[in-house]
Amino acid sequence: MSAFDGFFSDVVGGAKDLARTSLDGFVDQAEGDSKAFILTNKTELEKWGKQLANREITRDQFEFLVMGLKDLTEMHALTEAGVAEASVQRFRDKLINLVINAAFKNFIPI
Amino acid sequence: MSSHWMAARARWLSVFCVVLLLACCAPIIADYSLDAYKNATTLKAETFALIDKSGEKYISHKAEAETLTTKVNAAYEFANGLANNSLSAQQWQIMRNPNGNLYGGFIRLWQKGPLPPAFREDLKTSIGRGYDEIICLEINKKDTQRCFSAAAPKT
Repeated sequence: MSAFDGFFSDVVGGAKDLARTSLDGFVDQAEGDSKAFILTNKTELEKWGKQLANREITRDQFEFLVMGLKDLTEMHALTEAGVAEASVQRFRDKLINLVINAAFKNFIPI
Repeated sequence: MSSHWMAARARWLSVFCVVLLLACCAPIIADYSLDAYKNATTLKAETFALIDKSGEKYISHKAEAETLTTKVNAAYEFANGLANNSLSAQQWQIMRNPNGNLYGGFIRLWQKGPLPPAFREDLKTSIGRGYDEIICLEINKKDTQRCFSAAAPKT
């Protein structure tokens, strides 16, 4: 096997493992948190509806809370965008380390 | 293998590594900030304490409310001042927006009159979830981790 073949094999093999550990974790996080976000919204909406019916809160207050869900949805989207960026950054940094280590291992054997 | 060939390969490798490291040095998102994390967790607790007082007239707690609003504005300015941190800064902007429906909106409503108990509890849940989003983004800058559970939403 040539030095380049060894380098290529090390990088591709390592990158697969990196993607699995770095990016799969992000997908699980995003999926789980988004499901929890939607379910919590549903629970809150039901509770506020009952409070409105029981006159524990006014119509204006009910509307304020419902509009708050719009703000929270926007904040959640920003969270997920940030989590994705952070995951990609970690993946990129690890990938570059992998490439450099593979290059030294295969092109300048000790 | 000749020493000339080895030296050429080492030079090529050095250039290759420098190019890679330069590419690596451009951050996509700001690093985790302990100060930003503390801002969000502390202000969440202080906001809850203020909501508890909003059953009374705003004028009786005006100084406290203004002090807390200044702290929330300072948290926004801190986040906005960090490089590559626009997502967190946008979250603080939503939180403090006086025309919005989280912290800024709460102050706007309270100024109109005392708030009833059920609504105060609802506000704590709603605004607490907003703070949790800010906290979640901050801790995920350090490491990927789940923040929320539908069964027991953080408030």
